[in-house]
Amino acid sequence: MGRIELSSVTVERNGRTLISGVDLALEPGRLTVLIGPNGAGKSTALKVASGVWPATKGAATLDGRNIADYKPRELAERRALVAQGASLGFPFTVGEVVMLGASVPGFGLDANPEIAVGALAAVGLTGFEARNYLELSGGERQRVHIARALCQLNAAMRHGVDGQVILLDEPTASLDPAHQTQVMALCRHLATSGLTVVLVLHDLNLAAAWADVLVVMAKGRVRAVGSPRDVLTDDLLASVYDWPARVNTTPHDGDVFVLPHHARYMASAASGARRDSAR
Amino acid sequence: MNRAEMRFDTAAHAAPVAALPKSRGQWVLPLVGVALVLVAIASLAIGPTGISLGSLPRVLKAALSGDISDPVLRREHLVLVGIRLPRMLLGAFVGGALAVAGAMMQGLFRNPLADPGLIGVSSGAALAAVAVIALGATPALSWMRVFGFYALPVAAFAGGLVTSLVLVWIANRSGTLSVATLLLSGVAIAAIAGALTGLMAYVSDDRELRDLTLWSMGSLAGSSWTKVIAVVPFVVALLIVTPSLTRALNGFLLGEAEAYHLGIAVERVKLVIVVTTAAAVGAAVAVAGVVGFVGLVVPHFVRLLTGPDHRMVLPVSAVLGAALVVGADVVARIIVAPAELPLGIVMAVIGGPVFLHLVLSRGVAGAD
Repeated sequence: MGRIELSSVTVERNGRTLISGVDLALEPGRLTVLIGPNGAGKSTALKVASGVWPATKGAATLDGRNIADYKPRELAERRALVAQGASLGFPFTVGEVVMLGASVPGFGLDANPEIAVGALAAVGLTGFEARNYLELSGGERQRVHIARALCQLNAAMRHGVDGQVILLDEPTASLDPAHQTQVMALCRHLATSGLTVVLVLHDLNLAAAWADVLVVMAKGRVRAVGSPRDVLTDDLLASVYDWPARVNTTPHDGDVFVLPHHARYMASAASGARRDSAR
Repeated sequence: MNRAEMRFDTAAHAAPVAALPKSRGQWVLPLVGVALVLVAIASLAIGPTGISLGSLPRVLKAALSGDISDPVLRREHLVLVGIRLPRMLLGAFVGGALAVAGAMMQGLFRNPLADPGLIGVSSGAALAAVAVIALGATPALSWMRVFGFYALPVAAFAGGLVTSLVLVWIANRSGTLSVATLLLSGVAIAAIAGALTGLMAYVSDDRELRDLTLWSMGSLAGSSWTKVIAVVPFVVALLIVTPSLTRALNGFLLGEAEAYHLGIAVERVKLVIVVTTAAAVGAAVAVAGVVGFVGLVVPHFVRLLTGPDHRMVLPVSAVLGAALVVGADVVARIIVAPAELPLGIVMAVIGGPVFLHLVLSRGVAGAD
């Protein structure tokens, strides 16, 4: 339960093809990370998986049923999404924002405020309940929205819903390294608890360290799927990002990490400049 | 509950002492309720023919028992029940409807500066109503007569609805509606509607012309029981529909995509909100003309007291809006007595500075 599948999904909006022929299986209990350069279609894939954008061609299903056939209410019980740069222009308290996560009538969250308090604790914001959301830092706001998503799923879970999915679009973008690790550990915890966890990340080292499944996208297509060790290679990164990088492994446990190859970058930039001036 | 669920349960992380603050401002609703009762009594007691507070119960008792043979009592009864009571009721309705409409628009557009007057919805409603007054006898609009005394509110509702839909269309085109786009579109729509309304003046006779002037300034001077009856269906509809919109409006504050993720049927709810606000504004404009700033000032003030949760903002705005307009109407009646100031002018004096303050503090409020 909680398996999302995209089968040859193409999305066209305003005459532009954003992703084409994308096949993707997002499995419960796994931490799946989407990586790829800007404009690769990661966020689009996430929007199709969450149901907010329909597939122009192909189909997206949740547990075998087309996502477009779910009512918004049904989907809200099954999946939560933390969008990129979520914003809120009104002076809510942090507690109120988190409670919005379960603003679906019938969740009975008002009777269970400890869910919201616990969600804040899970993102390290204990004691922030009465703070004004507008006065928080970017990183704190980001974590409030993660808590809101947790609150949404938890409230539904208490009503007997299982097979839940959480989708996070660059959740670590505005966080310091310690809080990045905290959020990734939380995602790991959710995956271990049986949730389908899907993230879009730009930090290849976070992706390499935490992902069960790495999905590499470029130019609207899936280029590679697999474990970080299998997928991350110098050649793949060079072709996907047009960026010289070295994939290394730590000596003691063989974990994968990525370093940019600055010397080669400078050399190619210099030769590019020479080519330009020769023209 | 299986083991995996137990581990994900966020409530397990909660410290037992920690409790979420209950929704803010529970005390506000009774307070504004008392304020409304006080201004309502003042509105019944104050006027050119002074009916003292002491005589109010006497007149009411006589009215209820049906014994109004005493000539003084009969005059007081006529003033009170025939003139002041419908005027007070209409003022309360106009204030409540405009304040709730403003709060809902601000939620829908995620923008604390949205106000039915500022963004042109009132002007659209007024144009349609004025067209019915001026052109009601011509073949073009004579069919409106089938609505009887509902013709004006129905026309104003339609005018407000068309204007709102145009704004939603503009908002959808640009993805999100910036403050600048919203206000400038509103200025443009209000200018167009105002020009067409002005045009109507040339095809009106004297009595109609006086009505038109009243419209553009906003006034409760022509209040009657007929008008009260005309707005009753709108009051009932608003009381039924708006409570079901509060959670959706809270979701909209996060953005439309977020609202969808929270399980809100965005397009359907948006349409309901637009139709509801147009009905509220249309009915208000139909009985009192264009009264500005109520929808701007009241929700802004209420949010300072209760926070932005619409479950509190909508009911408190309704009551406070009613109190504000009834109170402003009392001021309009006594400040240049025995003459009467248009209600719209009183509201502009109150609302203009608040609007300016909102614009200047926009960066802080995060209006964009």
